[in-house]
Order: sequence, then C-alpha cells, then structure tokens
Amino acid sequence: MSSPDPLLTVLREPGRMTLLSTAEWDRLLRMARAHRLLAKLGELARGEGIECRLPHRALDNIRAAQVWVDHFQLRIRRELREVRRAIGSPIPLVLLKGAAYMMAGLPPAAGRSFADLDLLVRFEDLQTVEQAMLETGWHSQVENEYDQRYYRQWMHEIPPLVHPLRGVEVDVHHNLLPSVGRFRPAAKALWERATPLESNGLFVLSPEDMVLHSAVHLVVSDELRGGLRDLFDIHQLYCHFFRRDRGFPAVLLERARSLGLAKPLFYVLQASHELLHTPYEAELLDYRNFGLRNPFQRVLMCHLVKEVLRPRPPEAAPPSFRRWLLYVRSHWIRMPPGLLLGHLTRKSVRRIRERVEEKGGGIP
Amino acid sequence: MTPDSLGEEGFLRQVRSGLTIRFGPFRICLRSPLLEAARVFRRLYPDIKLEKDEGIRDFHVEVFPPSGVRRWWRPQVEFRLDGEKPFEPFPRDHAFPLFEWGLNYAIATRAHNYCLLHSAVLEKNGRCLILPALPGSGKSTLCAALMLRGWRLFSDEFGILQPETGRMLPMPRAIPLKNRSIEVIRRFEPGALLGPLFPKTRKGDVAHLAPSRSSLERQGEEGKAGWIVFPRFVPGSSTLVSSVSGSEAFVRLSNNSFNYHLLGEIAFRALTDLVRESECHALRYSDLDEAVAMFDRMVG
Repeated sequence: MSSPDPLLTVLREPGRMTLLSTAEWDRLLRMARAHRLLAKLGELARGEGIECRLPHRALDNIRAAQVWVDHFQLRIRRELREVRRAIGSPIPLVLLKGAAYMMAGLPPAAGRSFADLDLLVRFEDLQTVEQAMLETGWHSQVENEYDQRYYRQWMHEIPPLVHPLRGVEVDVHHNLLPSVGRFRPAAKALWERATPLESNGLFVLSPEDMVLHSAVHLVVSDELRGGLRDLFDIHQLYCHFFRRDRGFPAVLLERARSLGLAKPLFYVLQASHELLHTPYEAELLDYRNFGLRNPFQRVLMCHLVKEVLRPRPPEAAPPSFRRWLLYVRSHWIRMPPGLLLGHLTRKSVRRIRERVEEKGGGIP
Repeated sequence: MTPDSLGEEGFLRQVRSGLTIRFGPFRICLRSPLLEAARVFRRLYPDIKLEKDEGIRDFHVEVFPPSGVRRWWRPQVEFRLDGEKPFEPFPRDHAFPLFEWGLNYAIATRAHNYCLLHSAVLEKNGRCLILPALPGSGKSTLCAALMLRGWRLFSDEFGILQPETGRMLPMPRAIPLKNRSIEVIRRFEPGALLGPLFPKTRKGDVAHLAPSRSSLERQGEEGKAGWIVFPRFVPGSSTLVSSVSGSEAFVRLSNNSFNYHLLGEIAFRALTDLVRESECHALRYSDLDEAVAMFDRMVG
C-alpha cells in the first residue's frame, strides 16, 4: 500500500490494517497515539474480525492503550454515580460527549478515552447542582478571581469541579456554547428533544443535537488539538444514526438551520467527508443548504478546518500559523471583540509571568 | 552488529540518524546528535545487539538540544517521546541520565499490557528474585552486587510480569547508582564497568553500572517466580531474614506497582499467583558480602 497516511487509510477502511507493512505500522501506531486513537484501532480491528491478524507488537501497544481507556471509562462511570448521589434524582441531567456515548452504548464510546465528565443541567438548576457538589466534597479548580468571573459571566459552564479523592474533572454546563458568543443555541430547545436513558433522570441529546454539538465543539474549541478523534466521533455517530433512520440527514440539516449552527456543521461535514470519506447524503454536502453566502469565507474555513484536523506525520512540526488563525477565530466566535482583546491580553501577560517563574518539572 | 563492532565514529553516526535497540520486550528507536551521550551509551552497552532499523518500535526517543538560546547559553537537553516533551529540559551534561529516566518514564506510563512492579529483579537457576523498591531498601546497591556475583540481571527498576503466563520478563539496563552506593560498589568489585559520574542530578550524584554481558545476551529468556524479598538497609545491623506472610507481601507489592490501579482484576490475579508461587521474606542487612552470601544460600 502506498498511501502516505496510514492513519486516515485505516480509519476509512479498517480492513486495510491487514495489508500494512511493519514500517507502516510503526508510523500508524505513533500517529494513532498522538491523536488518542490507539485503542480505537483495536476496536475497529475487532469489528472487522481481524484482530488476530495484526502484528504482535502492534497488538501489544493497542492492548496497553485499551487498559488505559477501560480504566478511564470506569472512572467516569463511578464519578457519574457519585454526582447523581450528591444532587439527588429530581434534577435531570443530560450527559454530553464521551459519557453520553458510553451510557447510551453508541459506537464512538468503544476504545475512546475521556478524562472529563461533561454534564448539561437546566439553568435554573445550576446553582443547586453546584452547591450540592461543593457540599459533598468537590472543589472548584479555579481559584483565580478573574477566571471565576470569566466562567460565570461569559461561559456556558461553571468552573470545573474535581473531587480530590477521585481526581475526575466534572464540567457542569448550562448550554452548549458560551452565552456571549456568536452562536447561541437555545438550551431550552435541546432539552425538548433530549432522549431519556433507562436510568431515572438521565438524558442524552437527541441524535441530531449530539452530532451538532460535537461538530460545533470541534470548530469553536481553542486548539483543535486531537480534533481528529472528535471528527471520527462524528463519522461514527452519523453512520450509526443513518443506518437506524434514513431520514436522519434531513432532520440534522433542519435542526442545524433552526439552531443557527449550519455554518460550523458544514465545515465539519466537509472535513470528515474529505478526510474520513464519511458517506454523507448529497444534501449535506451542498453549501447552498447551509446559507453560506460568502464564498471566500466558505472556501477559507473549509480549508483551514480540514488542514488543521488532518493528522500530521509524527516527525512534522505543527501547522502553527493555521492553528493560530483558528485559535483567534475560536475566540472571535465566542466573544465580542472588546471582551476578546482584554481576555487575550490577560492570558498573554499571565503566560509570560508563568514562564518567568517557571521551575523545573518532575522526573519519576 | 553491536556498538563495539561499529567503531566509535560509525556508532555516533548511527545514533544521529536513529538507532534501534531491544531492551527486553521493547524495541526502542533512539536518536540524538549529542556525542557525549552516545559515547556513554557505547561504553555501558558495548555488546548490545543493534536491530535492523525496521519495523515497529514501541518507543521513539529523541535526546536533543532545545531550540532557542538554551542551545548555546547554559546549554540544555530535551527528552522527546514520540514528539511529546514530558519533562522540562535538563542541563546538557546530563543527557545520558535523562535518556535512561525518560525511557523508564515511557515504560511506566505506557506498557500496561504488563503488570509493572517497581522492583529490582534478578534470576538464578530459572527462578526470579524480586526486590521491591521501598525507600531505604538499598535495592539498587543490592541488585548491582548480586549481578556482579553472577546473578542474571532482569532489571534494576521494573518487575515486568506478563499476566497471561505469570512469567517475569527481563529488561537488563544500566543500573544508576546514587551517591554513596557508587563508592560502595567500586569497593565491592573494583573491576565493575561504571560510566562517568554525573554530579548533582535531580537524584544526587549518579554513575551507571553496565549490565553484565550474559544478562544482555540472555535478555529474551523469561523466568519463573521464586522469591520476593523486602530488603532494608540498617547501618550496623547483622544479616537477618524473617518470613513475610503472603497477604502482607501482596499488599506491599501491589502498593508498589506502577499500574496496579489501572489493570484492576488482571493485576490482582497476576499478583496473587506470583505471591503464591514465591517464598516471601524480609531482610535486614548492612554488609553487602553477607547479604549476597545469604541470597546464594537461599537459592541452595
């Protein structure tokens, strides 16, 4: 096989893992590890029934990564149980991202590591939930007063909470995106379609909202670091929901429009189509359905998102300029310009101060 | 092909472009342009077999000068693992200890397909002696002394237990002797092959003892459980052995493992079996010769 990028190749067609040379495996393992997709390779191979045909050394590395993933999934399950115990059952919770995939038994969960537990609560319950958690031993991770204010005034979540005995970060959200940002989906609309899980009071987003959330998160988050993993989530979610319901593309498109999230969805669908060959229906690949009137913006954004998500060969330097453009842009979307300027200035000053005060790191 | 057979020039060139070596179950690619570090490597591992530079490497390690002023001004060195930099840079002179520690870090944080004990392990007659690393145990000194008296070195740092088979896997590497134990080992065996002294590292003064040739040659041969001995260096003490219950040995061993908490049930079963198949002792000692003689008597 002559493809220069073994990671994209096997994500598109997992069966091709059996055709790789050991030199290609060497590259594949490094790239998959860097993109947090190493354990995923094992799940994909199992799905194809080819696990026993992988090279031993590759399998050793994959299994080691799976141990790690299993451990973190277990930690998140336990943390969720503790959170529910702390806040009591009458308050409904929507699980987001990894925890949602895991508890709803969706394909992205398999072989996926997640360090944090992300929850969505109704705005009116926010204070009760935070209070209950603080009283049961969770600590706020943010001590700095500016940062506290940053979260509370402008963000869509409260500062992360961690229980010191368990160390799992719990992010409690009241919306999917910052309250000062350009895209502001109405949280109420998300609750209306949320799907209940078997356990009482626990929900996940509807299929279309789940894909939208993942897509928007990818475009809006600061760094897009490890974004390929999230893109693959979207790929797996779409394929899964489409198999269950042929009407899913139309529902997704309609929902993206009504929540005002059509643009970011388009960029992400384009990227996953080109990088992962996700088999989208034609209507999802036609920009005219997404209200993108500015062709310059469309082409530029599609290019940037795709290139930043494209896996780098292990020896290559990060595409720093493109990343920086998107970094600036992610904040641009989240905050009005005046606020943004102030925020970035404070962050730079702090970074410089930290660098000056920097001490040696630890060695085991 | 070995570092010795390549000659110094040839070896340095090879390290610069990427050297593939095997340490026990792992294949490592090491790349560094730093001549001094490569020379120390060659001195401590003259006979290690160099692998053909192909196929899967578990760890890609680079020991490089950082970019920017610290390349020249008070020069530093960075450890990179598959492109990531897990630590702050070290002073340039400490490139070799950085490589060894960095590789330990890499193994401890990744190789979860094994149950990883924080122990020195040696072998005689096919059975393994496990010396858990507890503060004040002096396990590196003991381990060095036993190797110098003919025990086969598995590792000074890692007890690699394969959960599927219950076997211990060797990974012979240079033993980092610290502070006073450098002199102790020099006196214990004047012919010992030691690397240069690295003063004032983060762990104090460090000098590495080369793994014995036979340990390296036989690094593919696994071992069965034999003895678990918890050593304690007590100045002025005579050599005293007492037995330790299986349950106590289990608790102390699991608390001292790198990944027991990650592996859960797998590690529980593997360690239970290991303890069942081993004789468990505690040892107090101050005289190295006496301690070594005690271990040889134990083997019988």
